[in-house]
Amino acid sequence: MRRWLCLTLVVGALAGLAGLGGCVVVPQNRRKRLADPMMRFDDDSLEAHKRQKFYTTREAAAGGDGTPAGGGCGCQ
Amino acid sequence: MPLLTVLAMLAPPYQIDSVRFRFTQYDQRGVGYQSAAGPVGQPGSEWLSVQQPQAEVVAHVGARITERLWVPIDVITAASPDHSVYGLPVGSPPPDAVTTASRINTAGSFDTLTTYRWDRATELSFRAAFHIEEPFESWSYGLGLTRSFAEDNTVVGVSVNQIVDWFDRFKLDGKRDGRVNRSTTNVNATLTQVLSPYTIAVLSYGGTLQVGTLGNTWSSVLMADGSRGEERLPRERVRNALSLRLAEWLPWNGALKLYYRTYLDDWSAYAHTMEANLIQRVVRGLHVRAEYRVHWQTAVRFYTEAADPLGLGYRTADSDLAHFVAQTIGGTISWDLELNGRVRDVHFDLGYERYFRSNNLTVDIATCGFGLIF
Repeated sequence: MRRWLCLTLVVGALAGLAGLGGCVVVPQNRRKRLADPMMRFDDDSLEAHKRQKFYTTREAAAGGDGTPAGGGCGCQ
Repeated sequence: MPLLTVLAMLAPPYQIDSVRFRFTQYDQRGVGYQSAAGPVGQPGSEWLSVQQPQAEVVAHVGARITERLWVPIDVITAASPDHSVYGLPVGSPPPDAVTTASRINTAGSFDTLTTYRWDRATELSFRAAFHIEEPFESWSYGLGLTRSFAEDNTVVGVSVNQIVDWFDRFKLDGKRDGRVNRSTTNVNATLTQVLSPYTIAVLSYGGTLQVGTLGNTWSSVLMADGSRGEERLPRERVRNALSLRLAEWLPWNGALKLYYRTYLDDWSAYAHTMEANLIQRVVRGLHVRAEYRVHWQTAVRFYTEAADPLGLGYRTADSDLAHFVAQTIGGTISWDLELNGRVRDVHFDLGYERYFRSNNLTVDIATCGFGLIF
C-alpha cells in the first residue's frame, strides 16, 4: 500500500511538472543551446544499448525508458 | 531483367547518414547464491567476461524513410551450458556444463528500425529484430508513433513491443529437459518537453507483461541443509517503471543531465534509480563526461538464501533479484573532428566505468567507439 502511495505521489508530481512545462513555448530561434549535441539524452545509440542491456541483465528493475523491459537474452 | 532495371531506376535515392562501431569489454567478479560454482553451502562464483563488438549503419531512403541496421555480438565466458547436444531428444547425455566447453558462448542479433516521416510533426517507426545464441532464439517486433506540438516544444511518443523467446530447459544435473518459451509485451509512453531555452525534460512510463518460463532454468537455490534445488519462479510478471530525465545547459560550455526512475512489479520488487552526468566541452570537438549512478532495490518476495528443502512454493537465490544498492562511477573522453569532404565528422571516444554492488558483485567496463557521419 505504501509503495503504491509513493508511486502515485511520484506520478502526480511528475505529471504536474509536465503540465507546467506544457505552458512554455520557446521559439525555435531561442533553442540553439538545446540543439547542442551535448544536450542529447542518447547521443550514441550503441552506447545507449550497452548501458541498457548491462543494467537490464543485472538488476530486477528495468523499463520506463521507452525500451522493452526484460525478454530477450539476459534471462529476466 | 529489364523489369529489375526499371525498378532500380525508380527506387528513391539512398544515402548513408552514419556508420558507427563500438567495442566494449566487461570483467565481472563476485559471488551469488544462485551459482553452484563454490564451496558446499556457500554462494558460488559469478565470474565472467564479455567482449561486445557492435556495428550500426543509418541511411535515408528518399525524403521520408530512415533505416537503421544494427548488429551487436556478445562473446561471453561462462555464460551458460555449452549446448553440444542441441537438437537431440530429451534425455540425451548432459551438455558439458562445467568444463572448458562452457567457457565461451557467442550471441548475436540483427536489429532493424524503419522510421517513416508522415508529415512535419508525425513519425511512425517499425522495429524487427532476431537474436540467436546457444541454446536460445528470440524474435522482437515493435511499433512506435511520435508527434510534436507547440512549435516542437512538446513531443509525445507511444510504442508497443513484443518479444518471443525460445530456449532449452536444463535440469540441475545438466540434462536437457525440452524446449520452453516466454513472451514479453511492453508499452511505453514518453513526453518530451522544452522547459526553457536551456532546459529540456523527458517523462516516460513503461509497462511490461511477461508470461512463460521467466528464468534461465539452470540457476540453483541453496537449501537450508546445504544442498541445492531448482529455482521456481511465477509464470507471469507485471512490471511498471516511471522515469524523468532533465538536461540543463551550463553557461561554461557544459551540460548537466539528471535521471530518476521508480519501479514496481508484482513480484514485490521496488526500486529507485538516480543518475547524474556532467559534460564539459574542453575545446571545439573535445568533450569529457563524468557519470555517477546509484540504484536501490528490494528483493522479490520469494528470494531466499536458505530455502526449505521440503517447500513447494516459489523460490530464487538469484543475486540480481536480491536487495542491494548498486553504484556506477565512470568517465568518457570523446573527440569529434569536423571535415569538409564527403565525411562531415569523425568521432572517437574512450570510456571506463566501474559498477559495484552491496551484495558482492563488481564489474569493470571499458569501451571505445568510432563513427563516421556523412
